[in-house]
Amino acid sequence: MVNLIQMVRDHWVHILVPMGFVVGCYLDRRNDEKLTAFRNKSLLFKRELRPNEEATWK
Amino acid sequence: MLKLIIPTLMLIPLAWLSNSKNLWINTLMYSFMLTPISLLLLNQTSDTSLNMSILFFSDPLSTPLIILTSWLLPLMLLASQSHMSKESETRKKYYITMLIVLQLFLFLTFSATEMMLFYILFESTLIPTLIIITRWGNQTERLNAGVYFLFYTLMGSLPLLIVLIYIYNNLGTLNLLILPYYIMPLPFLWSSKLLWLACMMAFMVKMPLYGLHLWLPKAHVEAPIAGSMVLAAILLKLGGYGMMRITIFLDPITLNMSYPFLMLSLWGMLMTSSICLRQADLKSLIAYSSVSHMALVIVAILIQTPWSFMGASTLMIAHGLTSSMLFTLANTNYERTHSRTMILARGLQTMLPVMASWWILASLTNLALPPTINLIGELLIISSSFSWSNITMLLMGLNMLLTASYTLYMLIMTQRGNVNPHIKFVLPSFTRENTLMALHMLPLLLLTLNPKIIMGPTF
Amino acid sequence: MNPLASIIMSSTLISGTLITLISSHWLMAWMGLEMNMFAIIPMIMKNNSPRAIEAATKYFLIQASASMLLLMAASLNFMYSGQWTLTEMNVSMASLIMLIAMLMKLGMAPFHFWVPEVTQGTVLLTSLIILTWQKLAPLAILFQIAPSINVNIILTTAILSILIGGWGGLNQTQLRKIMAYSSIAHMGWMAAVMIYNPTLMLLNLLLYLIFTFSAFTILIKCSSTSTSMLTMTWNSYPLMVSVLLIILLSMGGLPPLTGFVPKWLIIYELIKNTNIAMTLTMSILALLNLFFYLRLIYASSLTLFPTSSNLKFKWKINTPNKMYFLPTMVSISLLFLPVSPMILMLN
Repeated sequence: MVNLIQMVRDHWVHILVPMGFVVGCYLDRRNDEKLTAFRNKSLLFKRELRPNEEATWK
Repeated sequence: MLKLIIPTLMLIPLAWLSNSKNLWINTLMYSFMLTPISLLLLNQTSDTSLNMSILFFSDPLSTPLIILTSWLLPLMLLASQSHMSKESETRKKYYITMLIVLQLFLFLTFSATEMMLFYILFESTLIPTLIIITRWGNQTERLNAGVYFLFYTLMGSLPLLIVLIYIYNNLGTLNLLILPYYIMPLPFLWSSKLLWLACMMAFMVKMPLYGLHLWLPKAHVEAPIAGSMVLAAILLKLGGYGMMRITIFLDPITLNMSYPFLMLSLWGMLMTSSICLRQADLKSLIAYSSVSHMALVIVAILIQTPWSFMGASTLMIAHGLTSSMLFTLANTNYERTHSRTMILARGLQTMLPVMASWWILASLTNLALPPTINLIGELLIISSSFSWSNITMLLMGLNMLLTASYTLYMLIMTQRGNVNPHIKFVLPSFTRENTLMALHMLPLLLLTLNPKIIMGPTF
Repeated sequence: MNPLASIIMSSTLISGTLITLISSHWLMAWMGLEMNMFAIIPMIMKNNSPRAIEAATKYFLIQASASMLLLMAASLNFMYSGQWTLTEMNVSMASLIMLIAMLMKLGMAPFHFWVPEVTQGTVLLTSLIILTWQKLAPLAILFQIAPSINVNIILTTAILSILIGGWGGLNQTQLRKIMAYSSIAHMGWMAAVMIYNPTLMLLNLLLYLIFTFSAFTILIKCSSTSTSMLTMTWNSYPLMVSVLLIILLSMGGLPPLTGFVPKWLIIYELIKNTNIAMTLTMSILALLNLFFYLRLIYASSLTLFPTSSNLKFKWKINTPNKMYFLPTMVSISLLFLPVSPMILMLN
């Protein structure tokens, strides 16, 4: 038990960068969704999605 | 972009919260892990070929530079371990923080969508670099070098700030994505010539153009190893990147205005190569060789053809890795002989045979031998400059010759000959150093298989 | 100083400035300025050295003659226009004399000689007051008469102040004089934008106050008054030294720091209104300032001993003196560039 606490105290820093990556991915995805929604509203680019298609911009 | 920026930011608390035993290994490991994340940017899904948000985007021009930046941070950390081994723990952390902050600013600079944001971030790379050079350099001349570095760049870039604001007042935007649709051709007036000069000078000082290059050898020679690496590999490329970006504002007038600068860079290329031939100082030689290679890039950018742009972006990446490798090699010598003078470190081949093979590989890359991307870049640049004017063949050919001779001169001076009698004890080359060289060499060789990804937007 | 006297002096100092700030009548404004001056003089003379008395005398002479000029301008204005309102400065001669009086009080370019002498003559705290609080009242008056100020004269003064603020500091080793010159240069930037966009001047003033406050707080904490005393500071306050580095760079106006905000906005405003050449000259002259800040940075934080020295580290001794304002001020003076739209809304 003591060992476990000691290990957590020594190695908890390893969580920082992966956490940053996850947060970054999440924010990126949200930004993509926002921009996609904006794009889908424009008259020039809006269209119906074909089957098996995720986004209009791919 | 945020999936790259936020983890980079998190490296700073990582560095400060790691215990001293794991400091290097943690930062090194996680900065290595950032590199594959940056490779994600190569995946350009959208039909406009952009990974974009409102503030940051990446396109085929900036992506290779961003990847190079993220590749270089672990290499800098690897390279400076022995340099920093005698410092106290807090200072090590401070140093690592500076490197990370510089990396962060470089990411943001290369991916900024706004010219003004680009300018601000371009300038903000100065602060960490200044601190790295003047705080952790070795000789007292480093203070002078820091002043030169800061003031050359600032003098060059203040007119750029003024001009950017002026353009903003006239056009209403500085967004790099919108700007190409807004641009009106510049009239041939002397004021628009001044505008051209103000726009280009900032980047020409940064590149550096021959005549404005005096800060570079000083800064390179005095900087600690990581400073030299990042200066040669990335900070000079900021100039090339900025020039390629800003020439879209300046359309027809570049044709006229580029002549003196083309001449100056062709001439400067020869001059700096000849200066290399009579250098006694190893780091200074590598620095001047950087100036000479960057002159090629300036020529390519000013010619403004698709081929030359391809050549310029390829050579920027290739030179980034090569000169960084040469600086690390010079640093391994420096750590063993405690001198940058080549004549004092002769005959190292017999002492450090593995290092000698790395020296040969690096030299061959520097003189652009076939399986490397340096060749691809120089080939594209030389052929496009030949099609611009036949006479450049003379200068380019002569420069190839001079490059070959000074590179071989450097190789022979450091590796061949008798061992100097004052070198009694030389540490063998460490695995750390060999890894470092291999990590420089691998991308140089592997990118030859698929050079498309570093050839920029005109490919 | 006796605590009672100290309280009286500082409250007079504060109320003098406040009276000037809130008055709409020239006589009240003049009275506020006079009260303010009479309160600061005993503060300058706090340490009874001949140097301090000289500084106080100089300060008194300059401020008194500036006040006389102010009174003269106000009565001239009254003679021709028949009113004493601050914002109605319609007579051009009166407005010119008023401008000169305020330039003398602020210590701007042709009348700048007293500033380094006076600040050098006093202790650090009083020079901080002279360089920050004492600027408020004259700038408030200039802010109110801004529409009637002669453009050419104030722009010339601005450029001259930036030049002299940069140039004069190059040769100094005394920190108070350096800060005085840097204040002259900042005043130049404020004067340049005063006519075109007075609220921008207020923004610059606010940020200038914060920079100067945080730099001086660190200097007071380290009790260093010359560059050579600054070189050993890292031994006692290692963190302060790095903070001082960034604050000085911010004062020099390097981009990612707050110091770039006023420079950027002022350059923007000037390019919209006047010629580009003048703006370029101003921004390049500001590099002179950056140069002497850089020298301070070199002395304080970038040239340490290569290895940890064997001296007794003073930071191990716990100092009781805590500075509660400093973290806030430092973070404002470093990190406010990204939120500059918000700072603009404050105006």
